[in-house]
Amino acid sequence: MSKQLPLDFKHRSNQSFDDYFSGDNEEVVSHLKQCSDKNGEPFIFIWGPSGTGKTHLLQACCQQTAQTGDSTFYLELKSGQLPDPSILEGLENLALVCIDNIHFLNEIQHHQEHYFNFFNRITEQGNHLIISANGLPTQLNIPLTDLKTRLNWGLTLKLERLSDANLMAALSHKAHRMGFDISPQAATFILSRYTRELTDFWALLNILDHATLSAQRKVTVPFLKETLNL
Amino acid sequence: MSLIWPQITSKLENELPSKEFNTWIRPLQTIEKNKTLTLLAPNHFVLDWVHEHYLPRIQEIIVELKTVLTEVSIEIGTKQNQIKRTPDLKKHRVKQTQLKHSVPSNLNKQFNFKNFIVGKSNQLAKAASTQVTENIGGAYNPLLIYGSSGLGKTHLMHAIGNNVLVNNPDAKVIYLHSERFVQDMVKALQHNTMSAFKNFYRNIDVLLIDDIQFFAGKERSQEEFFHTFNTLLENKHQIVLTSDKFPKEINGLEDRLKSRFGWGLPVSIDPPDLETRAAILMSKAASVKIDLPQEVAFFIGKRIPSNVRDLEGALRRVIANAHFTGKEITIGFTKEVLNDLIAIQDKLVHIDNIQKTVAEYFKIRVSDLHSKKRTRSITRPRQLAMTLARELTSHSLPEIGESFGGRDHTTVINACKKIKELKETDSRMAEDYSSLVRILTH
Repeated sequence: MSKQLPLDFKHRSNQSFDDYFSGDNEEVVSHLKQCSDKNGEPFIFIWGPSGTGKTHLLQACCQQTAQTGDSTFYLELKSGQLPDPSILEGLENLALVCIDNIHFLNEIQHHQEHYFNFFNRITEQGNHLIISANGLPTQLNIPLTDLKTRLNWGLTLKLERLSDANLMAALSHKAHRMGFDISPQAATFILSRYTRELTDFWALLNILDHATLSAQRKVTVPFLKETLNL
Repeated sequence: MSLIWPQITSKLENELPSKEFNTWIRPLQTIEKNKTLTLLAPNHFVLDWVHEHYLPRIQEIIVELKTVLTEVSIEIGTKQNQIKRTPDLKKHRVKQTQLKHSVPSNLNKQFNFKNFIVGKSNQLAKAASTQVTENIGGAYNPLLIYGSSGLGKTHLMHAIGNNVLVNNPDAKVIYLHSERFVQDMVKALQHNTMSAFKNFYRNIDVLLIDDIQFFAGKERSQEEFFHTFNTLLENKHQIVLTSDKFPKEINGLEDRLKSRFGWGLPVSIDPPDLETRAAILMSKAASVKIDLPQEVAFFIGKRIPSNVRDLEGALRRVIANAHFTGKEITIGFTKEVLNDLIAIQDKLVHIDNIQKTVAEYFKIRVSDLHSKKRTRSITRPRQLAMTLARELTSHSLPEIGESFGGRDHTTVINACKKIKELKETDSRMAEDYSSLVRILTH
């Protein structure tokens, strides 16, 4: 039988709360949802190792706040590419600002004063702020104490890595949302032989979605070996 | 809200990567009027980026959607500010909000004298602040409150402002961070409105400026502030300033400002002692209707010794988790919730580290702290190190005694008592103690 040609349509992760598999992080998600609804704490600091979904959650917060018609801003700090601090001007007037990877502020120390000033402005304005980092505020290499004490001031929440059982559940959850199923054996195989990083799951599922449609087969261990050249 | 904008964003959301969409499209606000869609960006940076990367596509989508719109423009502003400026829209594509001098007092009503917990570390600053509200522009002018970050300087400042307004609701009281003064001055220079700027700042009854150390290195702002300062003082208007250190120690601040800041009354705020930390926690908890057991307040206070913001952050975490899980707040529960924070604090502050830091501070050897020497130059640092070990770690009295050359636990008790006495009578000892706490906890 000849292969069926699927339409070249990639599923996009919409980075919503629904699309985030919370596992043991239910409390964090609950506080972030409240903050995005402008009910809970006005300043939340989330931290955890990479691959725990910090970026996903910050974007989910922006999405949720925007649903009520309010403006939001997602600011990603990247190593070696910190934006000019003028990007912070006027952001205090937006309902929610999310700053991702604030630990990279250690790379340009004179930027820290701008973030400190921004923190004061948004607090005075009464708008909401969510910041993420790879460690607790105390652990960050931020010599400007005024900024550091302010980062410690909010509600600090840790994101835990998902356990194996939860990683498998997350994989099935995402596959199910894309319209196909992954058996427990196939999920175990993926975790042990391919990837354990949540951030890689989406790309993998896009490959599998395309491949299962094209070959008209279910996701089984032999199919995975063949598709992923393992 | 524009009716067409949600349709445009819905298309863009499908076309752009999620991060891009959240960074550049979500912050935009819109006004739809007279067949023109005006996009409002929060700042120049966003405006330029959107203009270059997304405006052409937005124009295409408008055509695709067959809307009534014929023009799209982008400018800086928010909907609130923009509405007032609508008549000028046609003439200018990109405009900046004019400096407004009718600024509000910026006072946070939650900060008052009643909820300021007084301890030995801050009683002088609190007393001076209260005096200022009773005698505006009197002897304590300027009042300068200085101390490390997170000890309550801003709280006192707002409390002064709020109290003045209670006694005299018509008083012109303005609280602002030093950055805001600098920003307003730069805008005034840009828009050629310096006389309005001067007029505004020189006619305030009570001017409260936070964190003046950030004036350092900004010469033009310092000069302007110097004149504002003189005019206010001459007219017996009150100035209250805060700083993270005594003005003479701020690098990059002009000498004439350093000297003038010290004219009135400089008062310091030191890190709160354990009892005050516990009282602060219980008061904060009570303000959100949580009955925090005293032993839990002491537990958190002991483990988070650095500053009030850190304490509040820890308390927030405990209360949030208790709300989420429905569990009772006990020491066991608190220990579990603050596990990560405590582990890091313990790594930061341990007896070895305290001994090393104290020895370096007083330029003696660590072995002197362990030795039997009883000269004052050794005894005082040793007593101080023991007190810090008692305050900042969870070690028991016998453990602390053992770490100082196998001394008895009663020696540790006596050392703590002696340092407590000296802190009250000898300002130098109080200063050494505060400096060491700061070094060890940051």
